[in-house]
Amino acid sequence: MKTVALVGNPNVGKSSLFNAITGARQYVANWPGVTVSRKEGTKTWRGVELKFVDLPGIYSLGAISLDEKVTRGYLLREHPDVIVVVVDALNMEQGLFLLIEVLEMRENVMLVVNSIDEARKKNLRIDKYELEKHFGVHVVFTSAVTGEGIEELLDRILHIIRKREVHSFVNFKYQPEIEERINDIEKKIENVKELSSYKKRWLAIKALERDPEVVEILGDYNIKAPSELEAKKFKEMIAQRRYEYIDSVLREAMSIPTKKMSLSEALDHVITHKFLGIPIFLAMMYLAFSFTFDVMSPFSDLIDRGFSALGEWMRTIMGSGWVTSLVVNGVIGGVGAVLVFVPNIFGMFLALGFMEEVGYLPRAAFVIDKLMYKLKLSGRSFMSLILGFGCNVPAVMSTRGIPDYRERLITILVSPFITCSARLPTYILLAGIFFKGKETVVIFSIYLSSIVLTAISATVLNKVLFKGQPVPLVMELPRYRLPSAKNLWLYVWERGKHFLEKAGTIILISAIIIWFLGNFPSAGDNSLAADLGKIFEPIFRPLGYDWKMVTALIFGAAAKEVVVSTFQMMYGNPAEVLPSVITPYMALSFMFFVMAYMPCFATVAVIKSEAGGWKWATFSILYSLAVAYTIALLISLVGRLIW
Amino acid sequence: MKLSEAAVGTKVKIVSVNFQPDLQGRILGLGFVPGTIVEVVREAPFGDPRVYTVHGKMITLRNSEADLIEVQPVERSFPLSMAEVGKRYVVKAFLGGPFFMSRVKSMGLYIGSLIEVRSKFPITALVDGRIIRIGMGMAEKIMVEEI
Ligand SMILES: Nc1nc2c(ncn2[C@@H]2O[C@H](COP(=O)(O)OP(=O)(O)O)[C@@H](O)[C@H]2O)c(=O)[nH]1
Ligand SMILES: [Mg+2]
Repeated sequence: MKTVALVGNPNVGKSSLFNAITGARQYVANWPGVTVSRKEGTKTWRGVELKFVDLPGIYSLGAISLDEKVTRGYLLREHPDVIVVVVDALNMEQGLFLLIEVLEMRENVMLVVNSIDEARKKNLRIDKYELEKHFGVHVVFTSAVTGEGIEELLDRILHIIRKREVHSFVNFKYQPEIEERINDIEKKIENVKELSSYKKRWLAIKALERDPEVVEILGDYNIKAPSELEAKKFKEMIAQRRYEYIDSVLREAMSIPTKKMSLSEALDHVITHKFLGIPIFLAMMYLAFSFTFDVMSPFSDLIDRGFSALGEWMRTIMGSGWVTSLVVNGVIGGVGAVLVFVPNIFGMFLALGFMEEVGYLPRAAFVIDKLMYKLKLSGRSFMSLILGFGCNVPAVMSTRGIPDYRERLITILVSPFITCSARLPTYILLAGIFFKGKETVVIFSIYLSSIVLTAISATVLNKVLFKGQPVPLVMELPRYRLPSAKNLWLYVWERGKHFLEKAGTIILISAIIIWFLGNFPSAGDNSLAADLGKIFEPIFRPLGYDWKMVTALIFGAAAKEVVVSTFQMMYGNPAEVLPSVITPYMALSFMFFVMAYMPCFATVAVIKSEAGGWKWATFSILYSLAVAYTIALLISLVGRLIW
Repeated sequence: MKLSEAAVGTKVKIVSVNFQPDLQGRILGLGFVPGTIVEVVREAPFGDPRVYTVHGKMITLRNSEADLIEVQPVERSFPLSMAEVGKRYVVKAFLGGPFFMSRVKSMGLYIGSLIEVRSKFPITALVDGRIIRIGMGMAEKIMVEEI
């Protein structure tokens, strides 16, 4: 099996190509930093089995951020048979910069100019042969959307594998001063057998730049790097020369169409406007929520009626008895209580996916960066946090793209406060019962509180754990793209599927367990669930929750959706029973408790693996429980005064 | 001049890039290299961060980061806010409305006035033998050329 590595800047379409080639269904987003670790897939082409590796997007082959380390480490140590550098047809410069770096480091490199469909629409002509001539590589034009050029790409890959041809990238020379120094170092490297697996020229260039890893390698053989001051100058000169070369090649290889104010610029002018930016951000959020609730609720009602009918029907054919109760109240009631919210959850993903796909997210990050900066975070961690509205697990995982350890850890620790879609059913249920007609406002305010809470937590953690240093925000604003229906569906389905899987596994199992606990030795006040709830009930007495609510919270720790399943089983018909058990402010306090209290099992697990160890996972659990309790207590106390 | 001081809408040329080694590589890789022309596209609410176009990409930088990039004006005329202390300029255009026009007139500034910048933030300058103070906001709307 031969391996092919896909390398390139973020957001140029590597993952899209990877999907188009391997048939994998990896979600691609119109913002940088989605592929956080490498992904592999295979494709058999003309009888040859090819393994494709999709690497995180990077701008240079330094070894500073985790993304850069993953990609560079892979190219350096795993020796892929072919390296495909992917660049964006509409903006090749930064990609070609990376191409030069890769060419200096490895053999068997080829270039793919992707999104050629968009270039064509803009009447942008690119001369393939000029690129081939000046960079000494095979060049293929592709579109991951229309599939154009993919077969040619595969053929070229085979070609490179068979011929093992070594391209020479000879035209390109640095300034004489640099070339002289490169020569000096190359001569010294020549004598060291152990370094023969590296390209001499690459080692020499990296030594001049004082690349920490290379300096260490060469240090072992007494080859000295220049001083820091010199290295800074060299690094600037090297980068400058590369861009000069790229500019000169592109002047020959590209026709530049007459520039007019593009739609993208016009949109940006409004969306990232100095004064309108923040109101627009809030409006977008509100629209997303109103879509999730107002538009999707009729569908939920439909499913709700479906499950009630199913339950009734089962009762008539199965008669009464404990098996019927298990099936109707436990399984159908428990799982159905969660499934009712499928339309809302899919609606929320659709809204989020749309914002991601068009390219709004980085703009939102840009607009509110000043606020994030105050929290010693950056727009980058904001993007991770936004993912948490879907599910906290991918939010925590996506922090791998954050270069700064401290920012990364804080983002991981605060992300459970971002209220995920699994908590939504609780809000919708309780808001529907206690705040009829005002659901959207109540739920929107919970979401806003969740953001505020996340912000406060970030500040506190920064103060307590670290002497907070601001982190840089160097971020690319991608062009706006109309989302493809396919990609949008992929987005919704990938996430929604996870929710359905949970319904079939952890939620189903929890429902059955809760039914047994709730019905043995006898239903109601003498059940095991009651015993369990009553152990903890005293702790929650100041909040005004009864033991059933406490039980729901306990089981909800496994997966937050289980809170509503438990309600369904414990109360039978929560809509009728609950108003006689608690007051509206207690319901509100409960919603806030659910919003803030401990991360679910899956999230605890990723926090442990991403933050490194039980220490932070335990911290996260205890911290969020304390916060949730405090907030809920405040609401209960204030509510008692007002009502 | 620092990149953070270049007015929105202007183009400047990079002179040097002075980040810590850990970020320097990425910044250079993005295209912020000496000799490159950068356009200041837009600023976020509260004036920070700002968007720049460099080598065809739109990149956001905080002002604290843009501080680390030294630039010089490329266009013949540029806003007075980008002027350097100790140099002499001639006023080429005013970019404000009627209210703005009456204010500059009352300060004794006309097209063709000679200005010698004495200090910045805000600008104090010698015009027709008098020292006047010009706020940075106003200075962004007064286009000058170096003489
Ligand atoms: N029109 C067009 N859009 C593309 C093409 N390839 C990728 N995209 C879009 O570009 C964005 C980034 O793609 P992605 O594969 O995530 O880029 P990656 O970061 O390099 O993996 C997504 O919105 C894709 O839908 C293409 O060939 N044509
Ligand atoms: Mg990707």
